[in-house]
Amino acid sequence: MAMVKKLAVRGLTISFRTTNGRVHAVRNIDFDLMKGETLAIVGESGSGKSVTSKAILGILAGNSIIEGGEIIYDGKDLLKINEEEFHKIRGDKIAMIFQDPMSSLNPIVKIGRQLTEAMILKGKVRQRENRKNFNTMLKNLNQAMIQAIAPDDHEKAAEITRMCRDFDKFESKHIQLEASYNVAHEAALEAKEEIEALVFELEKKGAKDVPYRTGQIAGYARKAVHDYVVNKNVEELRTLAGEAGKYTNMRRYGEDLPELRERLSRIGEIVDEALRHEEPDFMAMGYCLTFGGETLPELPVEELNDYMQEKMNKEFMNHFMDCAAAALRWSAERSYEAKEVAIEVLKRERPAFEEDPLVKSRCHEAIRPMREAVENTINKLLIVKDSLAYTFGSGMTADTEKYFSSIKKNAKEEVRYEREKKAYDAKVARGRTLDYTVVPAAITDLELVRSTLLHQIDRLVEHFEDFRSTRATRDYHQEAEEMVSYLQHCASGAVNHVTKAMAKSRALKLMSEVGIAEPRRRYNQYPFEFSGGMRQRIVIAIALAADPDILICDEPTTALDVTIQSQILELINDLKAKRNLSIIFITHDLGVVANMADRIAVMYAGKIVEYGTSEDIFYHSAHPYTWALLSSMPDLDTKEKLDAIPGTPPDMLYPPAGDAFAARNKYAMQIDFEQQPPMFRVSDTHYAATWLLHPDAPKVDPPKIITDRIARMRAKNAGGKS
Amino acid sequence: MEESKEVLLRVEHLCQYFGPTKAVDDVSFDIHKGEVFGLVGESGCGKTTTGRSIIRLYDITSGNVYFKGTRICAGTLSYRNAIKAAKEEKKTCKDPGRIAELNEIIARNKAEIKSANYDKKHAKKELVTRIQMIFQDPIASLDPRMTVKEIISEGLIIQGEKDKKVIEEKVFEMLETVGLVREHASRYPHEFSGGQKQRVGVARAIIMEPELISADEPVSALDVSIQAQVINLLNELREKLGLTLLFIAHDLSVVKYFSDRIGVMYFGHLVELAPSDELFLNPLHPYTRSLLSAIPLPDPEYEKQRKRIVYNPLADHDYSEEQPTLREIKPGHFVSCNTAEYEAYRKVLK
Repeated sequence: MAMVKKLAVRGLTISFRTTNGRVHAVRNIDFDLMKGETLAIVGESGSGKSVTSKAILGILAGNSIIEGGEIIYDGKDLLKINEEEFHKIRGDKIAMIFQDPMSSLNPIVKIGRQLTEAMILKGKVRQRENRKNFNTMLKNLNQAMIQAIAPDDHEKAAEITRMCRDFDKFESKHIQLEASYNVAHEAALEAKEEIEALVFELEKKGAKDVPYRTGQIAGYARKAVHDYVVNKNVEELRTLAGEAGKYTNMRRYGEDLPELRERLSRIGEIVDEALRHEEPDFMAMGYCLTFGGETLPELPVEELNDYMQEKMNKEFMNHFMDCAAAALRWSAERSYEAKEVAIEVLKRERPAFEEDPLVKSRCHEAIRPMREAVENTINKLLIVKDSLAYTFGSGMTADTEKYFSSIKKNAKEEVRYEREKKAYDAKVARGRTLDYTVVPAAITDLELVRSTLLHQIDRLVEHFEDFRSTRATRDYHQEAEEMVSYLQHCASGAVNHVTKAMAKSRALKLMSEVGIAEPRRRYNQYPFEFSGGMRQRIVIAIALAADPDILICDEPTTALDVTIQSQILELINDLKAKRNLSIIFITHDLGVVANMADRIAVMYAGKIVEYGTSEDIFYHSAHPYTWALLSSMPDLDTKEKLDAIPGTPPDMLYPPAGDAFAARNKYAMQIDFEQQPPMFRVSDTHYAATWLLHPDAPKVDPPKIITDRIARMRAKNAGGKS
Repeated sequence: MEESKEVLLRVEHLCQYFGPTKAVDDVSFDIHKGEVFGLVGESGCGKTTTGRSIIRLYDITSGNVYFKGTRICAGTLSYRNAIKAAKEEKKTCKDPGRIAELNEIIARNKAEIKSANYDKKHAKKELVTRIQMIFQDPIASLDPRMTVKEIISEGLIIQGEKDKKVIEEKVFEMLETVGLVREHASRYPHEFSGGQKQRVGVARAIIMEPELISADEPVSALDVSIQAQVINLLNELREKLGLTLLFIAHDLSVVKYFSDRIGVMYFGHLVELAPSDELFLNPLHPYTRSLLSAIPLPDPEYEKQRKRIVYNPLADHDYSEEQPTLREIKPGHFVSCNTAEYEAYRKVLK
C-alpha cells in the first residue's frame, strides 16, 4: 500500500537567543510522518523533542530563531505561513496534548465550558465553510460541464445549469431526512447501551444515579421514535418510557427495582429490534420526494431502496454522472497541459537562483513567469487541493525577501562580531581569564535560504512529474462518484448545526470516553478539583473534540500511573485506528513507545541519532545512546544492576564538534570527538548516526543487559505462540 | 521463612478518613528488617496517604502502627464506635448479664482510647526520627532559599546537634555517600539537575541514620537515564547501610526490580500482598491481574499482542453475602477475598 505523507520535516534548525548567546536546540533534523502511523520521538529532557513539536504547531517562544528548514503539511510550509492561516490548522488539523495538564487548562473557567468552547466556535465556522465549499464546488463543476460538453451551445448550457440547481435542491432535502434519521438512530443506540449498563448494575445491586439515568433512557426512547427507526410498538414504547420516567421523582430506591428492570428490558427489546432495520437510501428518497410527488409507495425498506434508486438513476443521476465525468476529464486534461508548460518554465528559470550571491532584479524577474505558470496548473475540481501549487508563489517571494533583507543586516553584525572578537582575543592573549564570551553574529544562514529556494522549485517539478504518470490511469467515473459524495459531505456539514446542548452531550460523551467517572458532576467543576490523571484526560478530550488530523502528544502519560497510562494509550490507539490519525508521540519512556509506535526517532542534543521501525530500535538498535536508554530501564525480569548513563547532556550553547553523545559514551572513539557522524544506513527503514557503523570501525556488541533481554523476549514470544 | 525475620514496622487496621472520604480503609501489613516493601496502585488509591500516615504526617483515624515493637501512631475511631454501639444497645437491653458485659466493653474501650492518646503524645522522638521520607518531586521538596548544606543538616540541628564541625563533617559524608562532592554543599538547589536534586533529598533522609525510609515515588518525576542513577543509588545505600524501605510507586517494572514484597492497593484497601516474584507469577486478585496486564514492556512484538484486562469490581466479585477479608492463600501470599473466592484461589494455586 502506498503511504501518504502527511508531514515532512526537512533540515529543521532552531536556536534560542539568550543573554549568554545562542542555544542550539534543534540541529538540522529530517523526518516524515505518514498517514495513520505513529512516530515516536524519544530522548532525554533538553534533547529538543518538545521544541520540534512546538515548531510544527507554530507556538515557539518569542526568543526562538528558525534558522532554516521546512515543515511541509498539506503542501504548505508551516514555517512560512502567516498567523491567520495557522488559525485554520492549529487545533483543527494539528492538535496537541501537552505535558503539563495544569498549564493547558484555564484555572478560572469550568471544565465543561473549556470542553465545549471550541466545539461551538468551530461548529459555526465549519457550517459556514461547508456551505461555501458546496456552493463553489457546484459552481465550478457547472462551469466545467458547460466548457466540456457545450462550449458554444447556449440552450444546452442552460439545461446543464438547471440540472445542477436540481441537484442542489434535492440534496438539501436528502440532508434533512438523513439528519432526522440520525438523531433517532443515535438515540436508539444510546438507549440500548444505557439500558444494558443499568440493568446489569441493578442486577448486581450496585447501580448509582438511578433516577437520573432512567429519566435519560426514557428521553432517548422517546427520541428514537421515527418513521424508519422505531416504527413498530410505538405506543407501547411511549407508555413504557412514561412509566420509567416516573422514577425520576424517586428519591429512595430499592423497592420497585425488579419492576423497573423489567420495563427497561422491554424498552431495550423494542429498540434492539428497531436497530436491526436496514437504513433507507436517503439521497434517492430526497430525489423522489422532491421530484416524484409527495408520497412514496408502501414497501419494505430493501425494496423501497431499489425502487427509489432506480427511479433516481434513470431520471437524473446517470446523466449527471456522465456530465460530471466529462467535466472532470476536461479540467484534468487542461491542468496536465498547464503542468507540462510549468515544468518547462520552472526548469528554465531555475538558474536565476543558482547564482551566488543572488541578484535581486534577476530573481524578481524569474519569479513572475514561474508564478503565473504554476497558477495556471490549478485544477479547480480537485477535492484535495494541490496546495503546493497554491503556496508556491507566496513562498518564493517571502524567501527571496528574507534573503535580501538579511544581507543588509549581515554586514553590520559581521563587523561587530569581528571587532568584539578581536578585543576578546587580545585580552586572552595577554593572559586574562574572561568570564564572558563573544556572541556570534545573529545571521540568517544565506546558504540555507538559497537552498530552500532551490528546493521549493525542485519539489514542485518533482511533484508535477509524479502527476504525469497518473495521466493514463485515471478513472473519471469513479472520480465523479467521489465528487458527489464530497458534495454530500459538504451539504451535511452545512446543515449540521452545533447547539449548546449538543456540544454538552458530546462533551459528556467524550469525558466518559476518556474514562472520567460521573461526567455530569465533573462537567461543572474547575480544573483544580481534578487530580493529575483526570486533568490529563480532560486535556486529551479537548484535543480530540476538534477531530484533528495530526495529534502531537508531548509526554501525555508521564505523570500518570500504569492503569491510566495504559487506558490513555489504548484510547489514543483506538482513535488512531478509527479516525486514521497520524500521531507524533514524544516521550522519554521507551516502554510506552513499544506499544504505540510504528516508527521511532531517537533524539539527542538536538539531532536525530537513530531512527527506524519499532522492531529495528528495540531488537537491532545500533547507536550507543539507544543502548544506554534501553539498558537504563528495568523490565519485569531484570535482576542485575542497571546501566545508568553517566554525566549530563552537553551544554547546547556550545554544541560539541563531534558526536554529541561522545562524552558520555563508553564506546566512543577518537573520531567521535572530532567529526559529526553521518546517518549510516543499517537497513531500508533503519538509520543511525554513529561512527561505529563505519566499515573501518571495530565491531562492538550492544551491552549484555540488552542482548539478554532480547533473547528472553524472543523465547517468551516464541513460547507464547506455540 | 518470612516469619523468622524481625518485624520492623507493623501496621494494624490502619484507617485514614478525610471527612467522608475513606482514603485508607483497614490496611494491615508488616515490614521486615532489611527488606524493600513495595506499595503499588493507581493514583488516588491511598498509597501515598499510607506512607504519610506512617511517618505521622497525618493523625490517623483508626488502627495502630508499631515501629520496633513500640506504638508510634494510634487512632481512636474504632474504639469510639465500639463505645457508641454498646451505649445504644444498653438503652434497649433488659438482660442484667448483658448490661454488665456492655459496661465492661465500654470501660475497656475507654482505657484503649486513653492509652492510644498517651502513646500518640509521648511517642519517643528518637524513635520516630528513625523513619525518614524521600519525596516525589525533587524540585518542590527542597527549599530554594537554603543551601544544600542547610537543607541536609536541618534535621540534625532540630535534633539538638550544636557542634558545627560535627554537622559539617556529617553533611560532607552524606554528600559523598550519595555520589555528590563536598563543593556542592554551598550551592542552592536550582544549580542542580533533577537527578542531583533527588540525591540531595536522599542525603537529607539518610543523615538521621534512619532504619526505615518511606520513599514516595522517588523516581517517577525523573528522566529514564536519571531514574536508573537514583535506583542504583538506593540499591547501594540499602546494601551499605542495611536500610529498610517502604517503596511507593506506580511504575511496576521499577517496583518489581526493587522490592522484595509487594502490596497492591485498590480504593483504600489492600487487595493482595505477596513476595514480588510470587505476585508476578501468580497474581490472584482480579485487580492485580488488571494492573499487571497494563505494564508496558520494551518489546514491540509482545506489546502488539498485549491485552489489558479490565477490572470491574461489580462484575468480578459477588460480595452481597459476605464481605471480603485479607486471607492467606499460601505462606506469605495474602489476597482480599471471601470464602467462596478463597476456595477458588486455593484451587488455582494447586
